Amino acid sequence: MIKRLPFQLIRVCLLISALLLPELMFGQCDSQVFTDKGIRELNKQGGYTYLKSYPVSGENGKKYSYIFSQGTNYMIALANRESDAKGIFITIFDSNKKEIATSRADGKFYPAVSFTCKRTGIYYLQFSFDNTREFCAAGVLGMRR
Amino acid sequence: MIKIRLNFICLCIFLGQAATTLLAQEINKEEVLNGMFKSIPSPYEISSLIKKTGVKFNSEIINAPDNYQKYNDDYKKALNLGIYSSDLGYINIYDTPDTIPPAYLKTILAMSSELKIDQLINFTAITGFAFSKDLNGLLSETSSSFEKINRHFIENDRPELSALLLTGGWLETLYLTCQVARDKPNKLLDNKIAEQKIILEQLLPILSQYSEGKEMAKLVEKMSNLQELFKKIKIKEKIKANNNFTIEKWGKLEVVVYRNEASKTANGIKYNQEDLDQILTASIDIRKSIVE
Repeated sequence: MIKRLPFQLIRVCLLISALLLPELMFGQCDSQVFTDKGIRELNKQGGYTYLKSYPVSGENGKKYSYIFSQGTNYMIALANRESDAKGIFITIFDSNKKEIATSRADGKFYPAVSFTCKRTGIYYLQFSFDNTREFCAAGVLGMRR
Repeated sequence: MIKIRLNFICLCIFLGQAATTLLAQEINKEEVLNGMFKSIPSPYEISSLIKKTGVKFNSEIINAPDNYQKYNDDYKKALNLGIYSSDLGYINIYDTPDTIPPAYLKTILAMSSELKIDQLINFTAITGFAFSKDLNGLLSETSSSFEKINRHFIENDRPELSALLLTGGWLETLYLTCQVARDKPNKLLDNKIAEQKIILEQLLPILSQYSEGKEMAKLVEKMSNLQELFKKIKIKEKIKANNNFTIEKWGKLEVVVYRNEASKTANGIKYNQEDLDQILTASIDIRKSIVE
């Protein structure tokens, strides 16, 4: 029984490692390069000031929240390996989970979305992937008054 | 033998589940704090509004850079680092005298060093962006530094310092807005103060998770009292969605544009001046207990 213990320990370790592996795999995407690409797009659109960046990795995309302010015009630029951000899109929901804007319009991907907030509150930014195998991207939020 | 194997399998499953539960809890805590960093509006949003009202820069209302020498424990250092960061945001949108931004950067560097997080802030890049007046670069670099600091505190079992950093930053933004609105009454700023109710609703539950210790408990109590004052403000959240969009070409960039103009008059916020005055008094009181 004592001789078998190291094997059992190895098996326990292997089991735990297998359970943790999916969490570790998400660390492989370095989205900073896409954040920088998104900021360059903001800079090209005069008048937009950087607010936040959103790294997105993993097949399931990523959900963030942000408190948008009434009367402020926001733009979210998307960036991935593609020149036109094909494969990544954003859908913005209000606090009642009602869709208010998306960058995937009429089935086509667009690299940016702009909207003016009608009511201050918490909003949800759902970044999703579709028709792609590259699950690494970033979104950059900017504002102008 | 079969019984021992079964027990062993059960033990494996139990250990595996316990490990994933613990990991999930840690990841969840980190996610909540990281999420809050992403969720809280950038201080730039309010600073730019303050500037837009035509109010001139007032160095009297921000925390004096020399005050940092008074802060002896990590609790005060983290809170005041948040405060100084919001002050720096306020300073950066004005053409302030050349001596002011370096003084605040120096203070932030000194406090970061004492908190052993100075290696996470790229001061060379920040100074470069500041001198070249590259606001987007500056905001992106500072925001990235704060996210690194947040992760560092969580990874080093000091998540309460992240919560304090956030609280200090938010409190200073509220305080500056209240001070400016008092000196030069403005409906837009009043609305902005009232809207802080939404942020406090997100922030307080996070801060309350770390209410162990006398100072933390006292701060949570004060923030809870502030929330009671905010409860008098009524905010209508439901809006009529307008999903009409057009595809526009901005240079080479194709943008989905939603032309849903916000109403200039109906903002769905109800409050009276007395409510805002009480919030100002409370924010002065809390801030005073932090900066002095």
